[in-house]
Amino acid sequence: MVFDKGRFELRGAAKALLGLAALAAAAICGAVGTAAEEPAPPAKITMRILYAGHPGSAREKDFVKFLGKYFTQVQTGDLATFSDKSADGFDVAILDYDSDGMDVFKFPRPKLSQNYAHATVTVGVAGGLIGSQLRLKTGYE
Amino acid sequence: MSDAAQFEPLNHEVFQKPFPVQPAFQMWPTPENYRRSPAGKDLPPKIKVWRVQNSGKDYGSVVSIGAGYDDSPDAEVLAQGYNTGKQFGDVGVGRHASFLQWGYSSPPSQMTAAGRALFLNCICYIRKFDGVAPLVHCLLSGRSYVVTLASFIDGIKDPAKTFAGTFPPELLGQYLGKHDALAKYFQDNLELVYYDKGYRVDDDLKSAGIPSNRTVAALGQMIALLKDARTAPKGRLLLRRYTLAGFATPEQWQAWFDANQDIIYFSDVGGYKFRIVPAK
Repeated sequence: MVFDKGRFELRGAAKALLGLAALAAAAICGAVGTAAEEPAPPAKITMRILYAGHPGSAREKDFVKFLGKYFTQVQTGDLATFSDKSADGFDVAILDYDSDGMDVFKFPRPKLSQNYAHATVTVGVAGGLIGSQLRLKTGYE
Repeated sequence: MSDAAQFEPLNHEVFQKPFPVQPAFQMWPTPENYRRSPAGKDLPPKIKVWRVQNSGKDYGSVVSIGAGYDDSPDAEVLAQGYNTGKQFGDVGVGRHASFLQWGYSSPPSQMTAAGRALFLNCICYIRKFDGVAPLVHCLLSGRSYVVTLASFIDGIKDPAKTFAGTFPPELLGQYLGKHDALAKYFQDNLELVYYDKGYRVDDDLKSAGIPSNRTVAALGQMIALLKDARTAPKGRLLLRRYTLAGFATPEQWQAWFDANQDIIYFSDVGGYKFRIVPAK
């Protein structure tokens, strides 16, 4: 398909070039800012959240602890085995991964079909790669 | 991407409910990489940002390409990401159909209060889009990104190979060693950029006196070309180039246009075509 090839070639060029720029980037951020804690809700929000990430990781615990303060139901899953059906019964799926020192481009990429349209928050590099895999505008190249 | 989002938050519900997002603003140096694109060339030395997280790193989070992000009605930029490696205007938080990408990498314990509030709001917001499939998938790059890429042709070994399929060989041959001129060529003709075995400027459109290939009015002008025998061949060529439809007569084209003009949009990333929002 012509369009596919064009995009592939373009993205290849972009990756090579912009990767060089990324390597050359200097740390220029300022000091860490502080702000008050966000107010707790009067009651938990009635939503069923599935957090699919790296099972047993500190990152998973961090997310679950936080989400549990705000939503009535939070369950965990494994990003590596996440599929079209995994989010059934949940209002929102959160797809994330803890790199644990691994090459981020080797994060698990769930096999989702083009028909998957569940309300989903994708996070960080893992999320960007999922977006790219599904040819979404949210993807990362 | 670093730890921050740039500029004031949008007047959008995702910054308002259920938790008001109250960023603490800082002025950070405008990244030099922003100067590569025309949109970022004239930014002031510092820009307004707000911390989303405190990873302490200038990398590790990711932006999505901003060019073409909002060229279909199923996608929206929610926050631009402050980044020192990609482009000005690239996206830290954005939505496409039922997917919301949170490009920041830190877990909640390392987010700022404003970051946590926005993250919670994003979860609540995306719920509304459950079951909403994308109208377009990314097949090509948005035209403003093409300008940026044009500026790189002299900065890489073997550009003919690297940019094969990106720019037509004749265009590369003409502009090698003159990357600024190629970028200017695309920037000056931004409304006429299209793709046919490489990104090009549409001289057919230009010679027909149609100033853009992506406005609904332009589509009407292409259809009008069909009504004169002298211009009809060009009209047919342009409609093949820019639509997914096919009708036998000018009257049929006009009826199709009249029936759909309020729901027609043009997507670069979806293939440089006019498309119609399907009925629900």
